Amino acid sequence: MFSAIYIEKAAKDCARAQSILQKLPLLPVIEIEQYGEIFNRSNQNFRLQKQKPALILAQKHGNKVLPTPPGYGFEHLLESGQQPDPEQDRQGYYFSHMLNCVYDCRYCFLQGMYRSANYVLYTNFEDFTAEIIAKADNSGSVFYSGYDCDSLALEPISGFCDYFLPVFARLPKSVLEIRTKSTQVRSFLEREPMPNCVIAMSFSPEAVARAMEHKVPAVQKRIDALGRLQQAGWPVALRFEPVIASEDTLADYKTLFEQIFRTIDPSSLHSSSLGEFRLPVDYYKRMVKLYPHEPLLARETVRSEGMISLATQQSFSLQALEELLFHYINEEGYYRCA
Amino acid sequence: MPPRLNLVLAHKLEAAPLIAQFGLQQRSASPLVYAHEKGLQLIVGGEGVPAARSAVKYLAGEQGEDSNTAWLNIGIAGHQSRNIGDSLLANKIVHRASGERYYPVPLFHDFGADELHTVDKPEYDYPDDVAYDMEAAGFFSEATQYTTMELVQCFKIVSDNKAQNADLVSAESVKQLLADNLKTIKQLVEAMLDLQSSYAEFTAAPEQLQKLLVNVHLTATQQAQVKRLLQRYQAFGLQDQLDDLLQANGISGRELVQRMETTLRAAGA
Repeated sequence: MFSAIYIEKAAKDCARAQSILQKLPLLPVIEIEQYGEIFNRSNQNFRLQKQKPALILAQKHGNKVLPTPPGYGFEHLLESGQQPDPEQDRQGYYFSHMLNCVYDCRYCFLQGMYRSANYVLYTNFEDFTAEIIAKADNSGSVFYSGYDCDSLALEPISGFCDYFLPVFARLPKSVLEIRTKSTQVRSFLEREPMPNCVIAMSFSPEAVARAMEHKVPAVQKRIDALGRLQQAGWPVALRFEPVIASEDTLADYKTLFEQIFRTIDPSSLHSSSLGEFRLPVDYYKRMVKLYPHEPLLARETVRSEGMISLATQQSFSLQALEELLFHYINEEGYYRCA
Repeated sequence: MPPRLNLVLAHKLEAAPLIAQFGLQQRSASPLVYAHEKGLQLIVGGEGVPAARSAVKYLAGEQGEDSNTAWLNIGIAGHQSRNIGDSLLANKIVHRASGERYYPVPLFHDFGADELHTVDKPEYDYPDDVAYDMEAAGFFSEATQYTTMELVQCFKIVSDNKAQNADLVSAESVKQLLADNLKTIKQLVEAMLDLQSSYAEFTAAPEQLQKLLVNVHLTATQQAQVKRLLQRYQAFGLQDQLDDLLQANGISGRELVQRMETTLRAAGA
């Protein structure tokens, strides 16, 4: 699974780091001063490292919980029956206990954001908790996990859910979204469902999943896992990001929606979202260097305000896809990811 | 064929078994460099950090800047506790004199792994439970200037330890240690050549670029544009549509770029 473990001197005494080392007794352990001396080095290649990434156990310093950019998530969606009130807007935050993802999706911005494919796992969960508690308020702050990593995919090693679900059980007014493509949902199924913890599963149509979502569980397996969570009473959400437009997009999504809603009950769905394939120009350029022959990255693009997106396909619009989705779900629980 | 893997060794004694194993030929212009037509090259650089640096610099200078050549330092090392004859790939290199640390990327397995301290004179006390050599820090810091870090590795064979110190290392024992590890070295060389190939595959300029340059004058900017357009052709399996362009005479660089873009657009790319 990993080529080696790097451990910061400062993380060595951390009980969580020690417990992870015990789970991986056969790997070489390399002591480092700061994770940046491995992770942020210039002259390393993400694609080559992705063949066998190392695990870096580190301590997160500085801000650990950050405000989300406008339009990031569902915090602006109103509870059923609630009236709009700008004074009462919920604030969204995101936090990353880990940098990089065990999956290898060709469209993923992480390939362009980080120089290294190694996984950084911050072991000072308690410091994250302190910031979460300080930021949680009665308006129902939303905390997103899974921006810089897949929140669940490394659960057996990280124990992320085992630790953070009890934290949010003590913060019933706040909401935790766990964004994932993983089917490792045992840690949820072994507990009582929490109304303030949303498991948001990401999906792409089968053709995109097969071509671009390497090492990711099959679409049907993800649907089954999400279905089990929903049946157990957990709030579940659907994330269709990034939408990669092609001539067949609408037909492909129709098939996907039918497949999903054979298992998922739309009436008790927490939320759904769509978002187009859109990246900062610098990330895109780095991704092209890594995968110059990847058809997605070889497509014609348009630039606007420092961002790259795919040139419009005549046969497709995001509005048309939204309308298709609204055949299955209630519009109130939908947002378009900015 | 340009070199794909450079082997850097300190002593001729260490190099001899490898020269024989890989069928390397001494280059007449550079008597310390041995090369093979399949892209393997070896240099006997001498002992110590400055010598290792110079050896890397020498080969890199011959190869030009845009290199995707891999680099492997092979040699003997002392170790506090490992058995003589054990081999290892360095996963952390500490230059004792300067305190600088380097971390080779641990992509290769089954070759052992350990921390390696580079010292300025032979180590007889072995104060830490690590390996000791005299070149790795110089080699690594220099070689990573010329290629991506994953393609730079240091392989060491334990020649002495606390029970049998460096004074007992002889010419014959060095030769024997290298000979005993030839199979492992060959496997490592093959693994590094594989990685180098996959790196070259996505970093090298498309071969058609050189052919286009024969007929069409391209500015540096246009070369970069055409390089990317050729990659896009490949991404969409449109290489067969390059035939006309490759034979086109008398078209300008600008026209070439426009024609390629039009073809890609027509193909829905």
